[in-house]
Amino acid sequence: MSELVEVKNLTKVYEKKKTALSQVNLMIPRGKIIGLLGPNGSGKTTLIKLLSGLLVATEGEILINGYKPGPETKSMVSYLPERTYFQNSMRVKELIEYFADFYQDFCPERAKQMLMNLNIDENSRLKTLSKGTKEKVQLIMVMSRDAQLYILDEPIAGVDPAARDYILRTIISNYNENATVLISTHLISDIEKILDEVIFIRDGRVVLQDTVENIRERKGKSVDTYFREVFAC
Amino acid sequence: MAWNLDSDRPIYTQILEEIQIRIITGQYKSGERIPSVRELAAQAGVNPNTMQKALTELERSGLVMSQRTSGRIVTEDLEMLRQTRNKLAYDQINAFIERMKKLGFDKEEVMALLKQAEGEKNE
Amino acid sequence: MLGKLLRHEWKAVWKVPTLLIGALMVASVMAGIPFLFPIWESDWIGLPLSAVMLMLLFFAAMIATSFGIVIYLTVRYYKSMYTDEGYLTHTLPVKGRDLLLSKTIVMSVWNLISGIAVFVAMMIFYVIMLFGLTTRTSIFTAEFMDALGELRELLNSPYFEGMWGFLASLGCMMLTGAVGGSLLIMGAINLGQMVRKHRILGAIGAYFGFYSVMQIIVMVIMFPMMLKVVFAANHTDASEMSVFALYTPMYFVISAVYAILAVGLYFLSEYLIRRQLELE
Repeated sequence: MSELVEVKNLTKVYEKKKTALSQVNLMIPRGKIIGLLGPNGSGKTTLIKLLSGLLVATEGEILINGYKPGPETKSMVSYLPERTYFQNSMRVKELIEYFADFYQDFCPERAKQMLMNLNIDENSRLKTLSKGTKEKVQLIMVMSRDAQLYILDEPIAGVDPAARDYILRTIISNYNENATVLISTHLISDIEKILDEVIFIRDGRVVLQDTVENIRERKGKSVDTYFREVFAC
Repeated sequence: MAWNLDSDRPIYTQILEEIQIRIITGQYKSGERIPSVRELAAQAGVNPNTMQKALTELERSGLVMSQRTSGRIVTEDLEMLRQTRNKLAYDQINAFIERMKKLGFDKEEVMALLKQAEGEKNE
Repeated sequence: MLGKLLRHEWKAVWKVPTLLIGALMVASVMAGIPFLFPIWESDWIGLPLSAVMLMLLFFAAMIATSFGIVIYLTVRYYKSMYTDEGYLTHTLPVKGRDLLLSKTIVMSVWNLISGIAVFVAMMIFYVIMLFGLTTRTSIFTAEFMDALGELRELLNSPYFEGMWGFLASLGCMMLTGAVGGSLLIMGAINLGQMVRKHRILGAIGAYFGFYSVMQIIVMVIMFPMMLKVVFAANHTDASEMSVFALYTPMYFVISAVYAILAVGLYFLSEYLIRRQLELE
């Protein structure tokens, strides 16, 4: 089986001036949890938006399971953006129907079970929920799909430790075994233990892609420490 | 039960130790099923592939056995459990003695100190 | 997928326009009711003025309803496509074409419904007012039947020749106008996105641009037709000409302009969504 994601010479320029990504080449394998690590403004979110089909590349190519970004890839990719994307007048259960209608890999039972565990009433309207709860609902929706690629943009930024543990547990216990989870973050120490591989990205370029084990063995230090060295100013 | 993993040592070794401790202290009982890789990984907050590797190592050593239908069970070989328990104890003692050596204590001094500490505790 | 998109799009927007139309219907009854009171025989000087005020208020309500619906649908389109909600909209496994089509159809249907609703509200108001004003001098039903009879006679007169053709042209114009109007708004919003730093301003600019172009095209096409009608009126006996002779071809021409515009804007929008999408 080929790689899950192939990125070739990917370049994204905004407004003819700001180059967000430049000549990025990546191979993302199946069945791994991968950290997309880099400081703010390094191009993480641009790469993620290109993979999710929210942006169009200036140059280069992305293939997910052999398809260019489009309806086919969107049916295989489950994307958690940094922002909450709900229409606020919807009820939670309407949201479940919505997802079940559009995503064939969505499991309503799994979503309902997780909502129940958190005591979130399916009849409540999204606008009545707190920001934190809304984010959890969104994570539940995203992880209730049996996708091939989960793309999670900063899932643990700005949450308390208890919520962080809940989020990481939810990710580990729900992703499908042959699927890959791509997690972007700048908080490496919090997430290091669950990663197989890391991709370091800086100024729109990939500076390193390696397994966590290799980094720990060869450099004799944690990925977090190594990251601080690589990105030290 | 919390998994206290620190970031300096390889996670794989720490998980391996933790599961061994759980088995010899009877938290996972002889002959009973242990949680699935996914469950253990979620509890510990570690990568499922790492957890898988640790369990495979435990299987190889014979401490747990893979069963086709019910996942993995802890061995019923009590002799092996006893040996594992002793081995872990020796590991700790050896490590302790190593550290004491660094502080400049020889074996006799260490033994004397141990007895003294034990005595103080009992008072 | 188009069916599902249509269903969810409808579910997402139906409430507010329905509420506005309901309010308009209530307003038309409320505006008509004062004409039922026997106050109109009084010779108080303020009466005619009050009647005019009442009518003006009612017209204002009609305009507010139509505008309210258009603005609501415009804002919903913008929000669902280009704000945070767009992150879900554009990660659905659907073709951009289906997405655009579903939104066009729903907005056009609401444009039509709102046009019909305004017409119905006007009828309600007039019927109540006529009923109120006529029952005091004679029997309403008799008057009404008389009026109907006269109307039938009028319809058979040469003036009303070609009425069905006229109605067809009117229907055609309403339909193409509803679709063209929707695509004018959506196309302007989609094109406005290309002005990456001022996307809403871009949309407003694009709207007025499209609108002016459309007006100019209509004028250029209409001008010779008008001239022809004016000349014809000078050379023939005007009283024999049907009142629809001018309007029917004019409406068909406007319909054609709307239709061409709608198709053009649709393909432009489809291209922009497929190839130029750039969510902030």
